[in-house]
Amino acid sequence: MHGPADFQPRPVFHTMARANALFGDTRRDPSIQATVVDRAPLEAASQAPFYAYGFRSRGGKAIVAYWLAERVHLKHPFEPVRVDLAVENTGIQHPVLIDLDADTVSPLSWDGSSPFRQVPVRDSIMAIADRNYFDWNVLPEIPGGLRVEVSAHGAKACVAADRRRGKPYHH
Amino acid sequence: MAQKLAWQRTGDAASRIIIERRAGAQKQWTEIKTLPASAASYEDTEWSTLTAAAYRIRSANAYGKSGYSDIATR
Repeated sequence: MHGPADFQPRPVFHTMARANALFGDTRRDPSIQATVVDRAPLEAASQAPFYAYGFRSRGGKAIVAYWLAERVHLKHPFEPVRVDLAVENTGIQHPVLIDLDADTVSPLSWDGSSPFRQVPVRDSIMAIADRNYFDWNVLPEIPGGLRVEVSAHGAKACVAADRRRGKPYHH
Repeated sequence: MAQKLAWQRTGDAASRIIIERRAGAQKQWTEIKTLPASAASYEDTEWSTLTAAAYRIRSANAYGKSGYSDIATR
């Protein structure tokens, strides 16, 4: 017997879709280095390995992905750990923090030379890029609510598209 | 007399609006007007209000076109 939730995508599907959108057209760049300055907070929270990789988009823009490979259960979610993260050779001037799981992008305060202070490390992928990393072309949206009006003999008829039935309705 | 079309703009990525008309029972759509994206209405003075017509619109910019709106008829 199928339940209503059987055909709903699992939450990780959306995370994977975002990862594909962010990194699908990139290449690994080993010259980009990302290291945790002080590992003590990480190691106090977990013995799982920490991973960080640098990538470049087709246009040469850098993006750094990092995560803690912790295995967790939904009933016991992993609490993010704050660390200082040093990155090199990225060219990032105005960093933003991208949480692929939460689908958020937020600016990171940074003085331009020191490590990124107190960035969250989670058991899912986080990324840091410059704010101008998102220079994708945007297609326009479909205009809405198209209607036709005719004025005739003082009476005004209005006919519009009925989205539900695909037929015009009159009012 | 003219047939006046009106719509709501959505988003801010469009640079123009393309209006298409289909006459009576025909299947062929004809592009009749391109307007700036700021436009939200248009009067079709070239079509008799006594003849059935259907309209649809889409927006466009340098990167492509949107899908079509719902069809409005009279």
